[in-house]
Amino acid sequence: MSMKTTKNKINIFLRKRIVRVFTIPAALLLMWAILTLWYMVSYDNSFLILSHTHSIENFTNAPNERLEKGKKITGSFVAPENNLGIVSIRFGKYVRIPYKDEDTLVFRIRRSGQDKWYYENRYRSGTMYDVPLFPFGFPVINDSKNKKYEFELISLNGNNKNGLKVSQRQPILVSKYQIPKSLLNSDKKEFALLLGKKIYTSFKIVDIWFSSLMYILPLFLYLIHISRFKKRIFYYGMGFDNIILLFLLMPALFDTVFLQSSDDLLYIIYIVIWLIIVKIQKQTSKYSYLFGLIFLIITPWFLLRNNAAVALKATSWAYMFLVAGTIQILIESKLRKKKYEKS
Amino acid sequence: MKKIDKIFFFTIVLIIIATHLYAYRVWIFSADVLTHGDWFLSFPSYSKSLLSIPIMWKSYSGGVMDLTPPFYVFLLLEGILSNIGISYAHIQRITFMWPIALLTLPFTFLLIRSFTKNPIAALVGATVYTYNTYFLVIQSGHLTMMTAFALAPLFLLLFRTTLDKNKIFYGLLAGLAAFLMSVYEFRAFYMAVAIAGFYYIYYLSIISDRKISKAFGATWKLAIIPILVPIILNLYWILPFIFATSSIGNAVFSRELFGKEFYDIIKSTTIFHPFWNNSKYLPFITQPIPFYFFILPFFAFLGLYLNKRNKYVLFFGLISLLGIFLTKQNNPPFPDIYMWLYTHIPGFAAFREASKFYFLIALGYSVLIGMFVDWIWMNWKNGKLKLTKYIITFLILLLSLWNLKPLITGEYGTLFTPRKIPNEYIVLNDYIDKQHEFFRTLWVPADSRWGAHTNLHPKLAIANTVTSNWKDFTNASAYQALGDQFIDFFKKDNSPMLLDQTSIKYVIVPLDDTKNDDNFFVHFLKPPNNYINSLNKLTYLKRVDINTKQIAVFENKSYRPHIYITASKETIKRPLPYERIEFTTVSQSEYRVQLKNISKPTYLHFTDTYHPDWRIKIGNFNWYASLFNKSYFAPNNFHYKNDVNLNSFLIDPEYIKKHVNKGDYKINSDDSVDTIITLYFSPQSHSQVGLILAILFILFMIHYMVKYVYENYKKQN
Repeated sequence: MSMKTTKNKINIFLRKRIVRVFTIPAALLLMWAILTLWYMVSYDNSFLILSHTHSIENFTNAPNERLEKGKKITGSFVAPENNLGIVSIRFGKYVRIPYKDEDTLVFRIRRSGQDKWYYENRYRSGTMYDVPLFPFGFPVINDSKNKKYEFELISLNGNNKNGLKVSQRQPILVSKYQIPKSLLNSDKKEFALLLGKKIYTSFKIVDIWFSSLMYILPLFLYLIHISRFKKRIFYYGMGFDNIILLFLLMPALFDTVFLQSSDDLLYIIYIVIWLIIVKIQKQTSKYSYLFGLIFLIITPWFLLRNNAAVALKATSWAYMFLVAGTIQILIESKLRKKKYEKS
Repeated sequence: MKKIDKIFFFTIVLIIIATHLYAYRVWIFSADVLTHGDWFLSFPSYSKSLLSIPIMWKSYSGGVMDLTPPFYVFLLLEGILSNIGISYAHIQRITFMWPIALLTLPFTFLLIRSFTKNPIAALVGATVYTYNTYFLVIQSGHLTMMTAFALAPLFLLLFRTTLDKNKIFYGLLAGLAAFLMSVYEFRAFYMAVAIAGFYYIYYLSIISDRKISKAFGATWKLAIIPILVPIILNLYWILPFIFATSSIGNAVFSRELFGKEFYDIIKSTTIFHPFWNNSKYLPFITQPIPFYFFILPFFAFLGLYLNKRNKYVLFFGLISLLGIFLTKQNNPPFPDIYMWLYTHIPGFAAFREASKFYFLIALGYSVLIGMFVDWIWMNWKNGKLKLTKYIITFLILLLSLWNLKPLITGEYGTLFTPRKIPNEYIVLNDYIDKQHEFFRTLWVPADSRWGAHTNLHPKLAIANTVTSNWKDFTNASAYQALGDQFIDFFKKDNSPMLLDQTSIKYVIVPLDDTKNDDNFFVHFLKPPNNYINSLNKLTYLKRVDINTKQIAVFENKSYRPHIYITASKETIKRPLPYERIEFTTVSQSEYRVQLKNISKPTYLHFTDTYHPDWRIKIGNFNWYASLFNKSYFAPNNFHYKNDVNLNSFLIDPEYIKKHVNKGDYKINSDDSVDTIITLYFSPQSHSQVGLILAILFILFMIHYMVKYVYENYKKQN
């Protein structure tokens, strides 16, 4: 079968009404469900870990300044589950400093009211640069449910250059619980309950609902595309009032300034959507390069404000837009060559 | 070009030449010794020994299969120049510093000039390539890499010309340029070949007007020549590496990733090296990125957009994006991809840290910015924009030249500051050189760059040996400071035997060379006196006074010769009586040993690091015959790794009588055996075959190229 015949057959299949209004939306919905579940699992590195977020009020002492030598961050929370094994705290991300100048911190945790610390360990501040929501792990506490725990993080060499500071970006405090594997094998009800809990607790985390929204974006845009609003929305304004491109810019800006998500799949989905939209609109690479260069030139401003996390995100998005623009040019060049060959 | 444009062009040419010559004045005009960091100097006795065929076994690190065999070509040049009386200061300039300082800019100019008619655009683009912070950082010590990068634009230009002109002659020239790159740095060659391969695919699918299959059919033979030439010319080491039982490949390609904390997407996009501070060089200290580093990527990608219909520019846009992605190493976005490439793509494991990929960004940006300047000069011809184009062009030029500031002021140090050998090392080297038998010197904690290394007296540094040959005898994790580990090492029961059996005659504590910016004691957290005091207390070492105040020399009187025999198996547990034997060193890969009156099984010891390819041949030896006869050497079970990880062989007179040709040994009246054996590093034979093939190929190339030039000359006249 020739390539042309296959292409024709695919086109005929895609034009069928049932495919357009049912099969494709169902497939996109399924993709959303799978990707969301996949991200929920990968966010905790395991299906068998439940994450519970806690609020800023759980910190009894979280200095507004960088943590200096001898100062500490303290907090407490009531564990909603058994098998507490990790407490994650999100720190601000500043410009990286040399290894030898890093701070050393002591993390310790105990049940509230007890004199002896249950667990204590030392950490280098540089590790928190790579993992801003840093997981302080300890031996699992099997009977932690409904018990109050307090923790401390003490700086041993902190100063105004290397000191850590609790981030303002949610979630800032997360407790994590290890579900025993045996529980799943024994009872289907337990599994369903766990799945429900996992989904419920995951959707309290802004990263997960943001990713989930992005995963459903293809379905949303597809529905607009097949609806009667298509022309109004897809082709409204083709200059700087291009409504759909400005709408698409929002998640990238939100991710840069507020979220700094670690979900790389977002970039792929975003860029694919972007390329499809600009193809539908028959746009050149103008907007891709424009947004890429805008993200690039805002980066030094964030660096000057010592906000490395936003600066890194801005450059990452700049890179993605530049890649998108370059792919567009490449496709245009390829098409020109094909035309030339035909002529 | 208008008159004012000509004036502008010649002004910037003058500025660039003046700035460049002044920044590189120490390299170009002086004859001072230059050494810093990983860039060590060579002493005449060693340099002269380099005039030979490639030898696959080297004397450094206790003896090792050549770690950098492609270097042979420039080492041979060093050998030739040294033997005709040229000093090392000049040799290092001829082989490295002059090519870097004088060729990088012109070669890049020629490459960019092939895409644009505007010489100003090509010149500005070339400065972006030549003065990027990564190249300036590697000029502090990694000159082999930088020389290869200096040649890269020439190779790419010739590769492009090969395809465009459809001529084998240019393919051979491109191959020679690629070979020279491979000689200096195989990883740079690897990247350049990958770019060429990528360019070829791009050429077939985008640039060429023909259909891919037709274009491929017409050009594949030409495209393969520049890759084949360096492969054939490197056969002298490729063959032995293929046939060796174990080689450096295992060590080089099994290292873990390193340096993740230094790189990120901002540094790669802005082509900013993490250690660059536009002042004194401070390695391994991450520096903040000045805001003006964002201007170049902005203009580069603007250049790509403005020239989007130019297929060549698009290619360099893709190269830049690829370079940015790889240089950020295993950092976001997509941090896992680098690790995947590192473990799955053949050859990628040689890039355990990603800084080398800055080369791709430098190459890409230089063309993109060149084409950006070209665009503004084409389009901004009237009104206010006319003036703006001069300002922007000058701004870009200034941004690149500004990176030369620390070289101009001299604050950069490193290889741009003349060094002087401290007098104490002249005394020490003289003392060592005067002795004519083989022994090693062990430097504590590390060897000084001023201490001579020769094949007769190789240097060892305890900081290296405790992580390689002697790693089974000490445990680094048990000590807070590395210096403590080294001090404690000498106190161990088996250390005297380790030193003896490794042929270490002298243990040397160097001086803290702060004058030359080379006080390595700080890395091991102990000052020189701590080592000296500790070594003074040892009974098996005796301090010798060689008229040096700071350098301390201790003698180990019971060290073993390079090759010796014992009646029983050598052990580290107790000292055994040993016997000296006569031997001749043919090369580092070949020794002729005389054995006399061997009446019972005897153990022959060779105090170089164990390698399974060290073999013995009893009787007459012919390297060529060893290639085709599997049982040419004595069986492998006579060769083993001894307690100290060195080579030992069992010499059994009964085996000789039963299996060796009668003409190859003599039976004495007491039934003992006299014979001559050859101790041989067997990959050397493959090296010699590769060398012959490479020489034949060079002769063929010369013949072809001379004929081509002559015929062209005849046609034109």
